[in-house]
Amino acid sequence: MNRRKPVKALLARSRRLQQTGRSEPDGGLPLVRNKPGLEAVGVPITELPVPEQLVYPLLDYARQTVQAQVHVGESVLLGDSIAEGILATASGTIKAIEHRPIIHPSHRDALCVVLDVDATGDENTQSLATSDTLSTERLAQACISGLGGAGFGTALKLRAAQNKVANISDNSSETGIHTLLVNAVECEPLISCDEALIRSDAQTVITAVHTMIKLSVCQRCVLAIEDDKVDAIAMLSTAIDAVKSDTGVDVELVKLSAVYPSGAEKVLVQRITGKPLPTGVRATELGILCLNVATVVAAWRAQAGYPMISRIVTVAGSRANKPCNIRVRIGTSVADVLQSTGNAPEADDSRVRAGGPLSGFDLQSLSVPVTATTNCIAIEPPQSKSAAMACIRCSHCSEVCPVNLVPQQLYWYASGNDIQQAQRFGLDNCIECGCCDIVCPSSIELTSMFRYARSSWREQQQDKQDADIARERYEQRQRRLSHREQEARKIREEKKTQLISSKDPIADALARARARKRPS
Amino acid sequence: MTGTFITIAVMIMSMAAVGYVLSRLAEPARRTDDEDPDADIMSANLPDMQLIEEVNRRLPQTQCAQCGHPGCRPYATAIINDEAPINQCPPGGDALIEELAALLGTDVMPLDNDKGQTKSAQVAVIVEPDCIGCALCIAACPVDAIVGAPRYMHTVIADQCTGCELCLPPCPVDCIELHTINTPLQRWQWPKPA
Amino acid sequence: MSGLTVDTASIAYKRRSVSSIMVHVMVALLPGITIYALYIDSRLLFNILIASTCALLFESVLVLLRRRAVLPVLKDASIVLAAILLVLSVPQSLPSWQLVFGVFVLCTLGKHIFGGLGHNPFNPAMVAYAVLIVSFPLTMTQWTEDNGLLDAPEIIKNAESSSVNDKGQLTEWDSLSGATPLDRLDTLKREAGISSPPVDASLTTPEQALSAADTILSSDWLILSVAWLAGGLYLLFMRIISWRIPVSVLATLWCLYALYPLSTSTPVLPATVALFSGAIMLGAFFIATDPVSAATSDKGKLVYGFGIAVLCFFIREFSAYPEGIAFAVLLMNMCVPLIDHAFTRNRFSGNSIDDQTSNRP
Repeated sequence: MNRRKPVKALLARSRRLQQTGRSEPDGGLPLVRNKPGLEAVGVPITELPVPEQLVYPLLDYARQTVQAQVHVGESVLLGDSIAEGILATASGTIKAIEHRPIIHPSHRDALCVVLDVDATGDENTQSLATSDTLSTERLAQACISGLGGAGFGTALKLRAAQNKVANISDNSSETGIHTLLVNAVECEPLISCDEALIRSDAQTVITAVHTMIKLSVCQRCVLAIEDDKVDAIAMLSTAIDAVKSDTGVDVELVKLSAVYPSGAEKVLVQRITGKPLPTGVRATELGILCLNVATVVAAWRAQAGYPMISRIVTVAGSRANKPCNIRVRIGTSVADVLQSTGNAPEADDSRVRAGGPLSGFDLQSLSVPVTATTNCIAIEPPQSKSAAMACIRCSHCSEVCPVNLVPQQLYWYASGNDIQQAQRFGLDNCIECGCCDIVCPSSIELTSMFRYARSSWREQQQDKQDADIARERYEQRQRRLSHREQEARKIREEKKTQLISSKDPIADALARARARKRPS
Repeated sequence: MTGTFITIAVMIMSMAAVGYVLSRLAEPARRTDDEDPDADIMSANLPDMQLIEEVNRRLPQTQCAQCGHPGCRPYATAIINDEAPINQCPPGGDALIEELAALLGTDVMPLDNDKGQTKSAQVAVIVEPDCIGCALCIAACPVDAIVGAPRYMHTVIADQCTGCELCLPPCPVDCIELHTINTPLQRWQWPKPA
Repeated sequence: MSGLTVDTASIAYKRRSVSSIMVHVMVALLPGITIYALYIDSRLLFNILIASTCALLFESVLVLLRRRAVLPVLKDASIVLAAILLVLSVPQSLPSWQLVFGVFVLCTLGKHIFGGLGHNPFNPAMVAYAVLIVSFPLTMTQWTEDNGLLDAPEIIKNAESSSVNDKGQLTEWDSLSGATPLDRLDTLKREAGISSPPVDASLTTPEQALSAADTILSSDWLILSVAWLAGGLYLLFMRIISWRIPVSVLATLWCLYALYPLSTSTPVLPATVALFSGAIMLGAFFIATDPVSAATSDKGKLVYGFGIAVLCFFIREFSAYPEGIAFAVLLMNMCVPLIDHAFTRNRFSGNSIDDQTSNRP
């Protein structure tokens, strides 16, 4: 709730509830709309020219190294597979497979495939055959992954949702997807790539949504958007009325009050269904397929034969000269993007940030490549941080937490390294949105502590797994050795009894020696 | 005087009432084995064998014998039989001591420095030009992480190696080295804020 | 590690800092302080000055002893606020050295011995008050004469000469103007010949109850209580404090005062009037709501306020102390960890924190 004008906020809230009929989030912050870089409605999105070099990190969704399917010197065409889930986004020659800096909070290098692009100019990006209907196989072929920022493989998500066995919320055993939730909320300040997509061509968006409805065979489709995206809402309403479909399912346009972080899947599902997601349960397990609007459009383009080779990136920030939304070939370096858009940082102390102010992190090097998860590049002045003071237990953090946690308790336990206890207070549910950081009067870095605690927990679990495997191997080895020992003892016993029972032990021994000497 | 007593009595009774009400409110939900595997263990009512298993499950399984016992299970047995304190395991470090203290209801104590230091993750690597194929290291590895045969090249399976260093002494040509592993990217952890 | 934290500076959200919260609370105290100084006892301002200066001094020394940076600690103004609340709770006739001692206890036992701001389990002002009233009972209960800066016609003057009864206690007070209404009640009881407190603090006749009520209603202390209420409402409106604690304290007290006469035949103050007597309003809005020592969970705050009200009622009605807020707050501070444990739930999954969370990745 707006802390500055509570009465006004109360009235506005009741008005909104009447309009939308959806539940207000339990917490969250209504942030001032800050979306620079949007063009006039209907203007198509500028495409950046393909740079001379494209770099593809050989990492999958879980940041594990994947095997390259090409070798140095090989020629590849646009759309060819470079590794599992990674396509060449332009035709060219593989220059190298080496370690390069990547967009990752660790600022480390990773193994990347470096592609020298053929100077063939504008090439046809339709590398697959047009298909009548969209299939999950086509999604995998075109390497469609989530464009909302997390980058999960869409084909996998779809299959998981379709194979869902039991509906946890009620005891029915329905399988399949019953709700397609298209996420156009985009709640984080500065990031406006989804809104730009809708404003440039809302009809395509709705056509794409209908295609996805057909593929997912859902009973209900909800397109969720923030209510302050006025132009986009108007265009979508017109498009919904204009586009006819034979699926029988209408696209419901739901305008949610602009409360950060409603775009997070967990919070969005709660706002749409009115019920919170239980701990550890994913939306797909409840029959809800939640996809980012740009992913849905990319999937529709896949049906038409176009693999996912580019994405819209927002370039913004208080030190950006020309904030804009541009379509960037995946693999383009951040330096190229900034140069081409006229946003190269001028001051020495400017920071370049990948992602938004709340979910992103600063980059150490500008030669890192854009990937499918890069939604925003922000140029900001140096961070002015006030020194953290002690927690005064004011509870503002728990008031704004969108997943109903008590950040101050989590902070006590996490800073004391008692991650087990923090887990019991729901650390697993933390979506690392940053709301608690924003309101804390003592300027405590809460989200950083929770990120540390969660990654520490994952590491502990992984260590336990490794220790279990080592213990099993050790015990197997002990069993093997003791088995061998037993066998040896048995043979010795048998020999002893033989010796004792024999009448002439010396003659037997001589016979045995002769038998050994005889060539066999 | 009676006034004072009555006042004190009323105060005590009201505090008792408040305390009783709060204690009923705060009573934790009954835990079954499914919800909390530690519930029974906390009371140490378990037979010794199960307790040894519980302690062993928390040990890092490097089987390095730095604690003075020939493996993790013997050390666990010694702990349960009160023959060894809980601070003897360098690979487990302070985190292990805290876990064992919580499990057994004993005090946390600092790691016994005589037993060694907690080292960062390491794996053994055989320098292949020097290897003579004697198979002594294969026999020494407690988790069978070395493959090879007499007079054939030996090599360490890096994924299975726990860094226990037991293969180094038996090697007659000292051809085994210890390398610190770089954390792979998927196991990178966010740093702790100050 | 820089660059990995949330960029709160670039979010257009005006967050309140700790010092701004403390300043808002002090602003909310201003109406009450003004009325107190003008109509009741002008020595308040002098005492505030002494207490604040000594508080800052003691805090600097303690922070230096703790080897921390002094200026950031002083800047958050929390010790000044605590000192002001202490001064408002004690009689202004308290000898300065006793006040300074109280401030010393406030800084040490109340705050820094626990680790400074945010770490104290007890309300510092109330810790100091408790130590003072136990150490100097006479001076802490003597409300000697002094006019406010303005001479208001509502000041009650009791011109009877003092006399001592056979138990050696004062049966009337000497010219006390500006005594708290509760002390006035004590006087009325003595006049009526009721044996001295702490046996039975209730009055014998409805007439005396009404007379006491009149006393309160026509005294400056009522205006003062209204001023505290106004300050409290300002804090509520600015969302500095949550409504839960003040509402539960006042509602519970009101109910207790309303229901108590049903259980005994002795009349007592009318419920609404009782809310405006003594330091209830100050306690409900400014003392009980101290975020560091109060309960943090929503339902917990309601239980916390309820407990304070119950204890305050008992102390007021059945003990020697005319005002029960201090001890009530301290006793409930002790219960806060238990209260929070009972009422903190992992609401996202509906489980209580005692249930094991899921291990799914």
